Amino acid sequence: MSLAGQNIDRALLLVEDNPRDADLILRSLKKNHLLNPVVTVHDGEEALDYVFARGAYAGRQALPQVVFLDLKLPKLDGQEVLRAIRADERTKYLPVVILTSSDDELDLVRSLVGGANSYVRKPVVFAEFSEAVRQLGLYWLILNEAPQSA
Amino acid sequence: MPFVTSRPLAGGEVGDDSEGPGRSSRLERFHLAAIVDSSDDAIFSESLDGGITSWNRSAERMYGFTAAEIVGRHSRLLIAEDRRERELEVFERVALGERIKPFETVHRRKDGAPVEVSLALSPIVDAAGRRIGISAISRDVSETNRMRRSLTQARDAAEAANRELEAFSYSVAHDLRSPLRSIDGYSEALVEDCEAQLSPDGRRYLGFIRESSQLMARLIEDILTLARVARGDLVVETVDLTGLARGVASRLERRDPERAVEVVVENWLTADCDARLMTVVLENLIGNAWKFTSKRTGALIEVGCDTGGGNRVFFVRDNGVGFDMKYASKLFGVFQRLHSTHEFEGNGVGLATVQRIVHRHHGRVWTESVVGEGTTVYFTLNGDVA
Repeated sequence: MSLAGQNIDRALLLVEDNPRDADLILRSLKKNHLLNPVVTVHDGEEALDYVFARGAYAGRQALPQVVFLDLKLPKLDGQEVLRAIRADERTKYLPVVILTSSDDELDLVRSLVGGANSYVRKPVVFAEFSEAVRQLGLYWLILNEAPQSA
Repeated sequence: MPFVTSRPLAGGEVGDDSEGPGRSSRLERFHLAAIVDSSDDAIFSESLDGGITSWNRSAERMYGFTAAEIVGRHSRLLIAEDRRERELEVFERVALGERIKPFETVHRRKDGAPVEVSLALSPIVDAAGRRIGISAISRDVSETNRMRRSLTQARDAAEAANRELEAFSYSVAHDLRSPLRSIDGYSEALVEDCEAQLSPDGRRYLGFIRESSQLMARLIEDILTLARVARGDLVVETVDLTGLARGVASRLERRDPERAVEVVVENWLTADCDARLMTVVLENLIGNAWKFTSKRTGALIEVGCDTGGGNRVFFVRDNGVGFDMKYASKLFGVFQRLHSTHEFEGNGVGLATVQRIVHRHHGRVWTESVVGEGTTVYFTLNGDVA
């Protein structure tokens, strides 16, 4: 089985509570021919349900290829989600990209210390935002090798 | 009430013995007594065991005791109860010959009212070098302290209000970004997905929406930068300003490849400053020079440093449109603009940011300009004066 073939089936988990931002991310992915399935969840708890295949997502197949994680989230925030993912043997190497509006230095440092693979600030101007999503999608969905386990 | 002494203060006894208690010594004593008596400070003397031996006019005013009432009584009478132990301990040390700095304590008036004083105690020594008493100069600092406290309070309140305002504008600006991204994003989506259904006017209006949202995005970023430069610690190191300035210029050249601007940066410019903030300064100043030379040929921007008397004055000079110096004082205010957006784009946040950064570096920033000839912005760092 080719790597590209494998990757294309694996989902991008998008953790984003702002439906407009989520929609614009989906739009940018599609426009840039990044066709992996995208699972959108709206809070931290739902994100962990998906990652650990429990609750409503008990039947989910493979681990996502990558998680795009917002920081300000209802219930569990992004830092807590990141911590839970890194604390579990099954997911400690799962690629997690922080995609946030926050430009607080502390958020950046905490995310990196917490084991985020990348920290990207959402640009305001849509053309730049779309370009950021394109580059992230290309890198994390196509080029990067994610672990297969669990 | 005259200056009453049961025993002469210094001056009388500290005189040269060989001279004897002659006329000049007596005169000197009168002079000293007059000085002591006319002082605004309460001045009194005590014996080594704490008995009060002299008491000037100001002491009468300040404490409410006349000299007749207090001379001969123990000075602990003057000390507020909760300060007694500590102050008598200090008194003992001075009585043993130790020199101490004036200190603040609380004394008590005859009527029991507390009075905050700054108290200087020093030993009185006779001609033979023996300690014979202690002089006390007591200054009423109640009013000074009250004013200092209310100034401190006012300053703290102003600083807190300022911080709150800054935090507020920061979070407002920050939270505007997400809805703005939607406006910009969906305007583009509309153009892309529904272009066929749009009339030429409709397309034009959408263009305006996108243009405006992008201006607003820029404004928000600039306000966030302005708020950020006020926060956080300065990381001061020796910074290669020549390199920074050339970096800024080459970014501008890449952004506007059609512009022909000669940028001359002096070699070996360095300064002890925060590199990140100084980049913001140069981006704004060189960016302005770039912008305001856009309507002429032979545009020239110079970045350099004048050195005079050990002080260094950095400058960014252009030969652009310039401005009328009568507006110079407005230049550094937030949202102040001297040109319409029709002439030159901009939002008036840049120079306010520059000024704030320069001030944080203990510097000063000012401009010189001639309409039609160009503008020079000068700045100093680290307390250098111009």
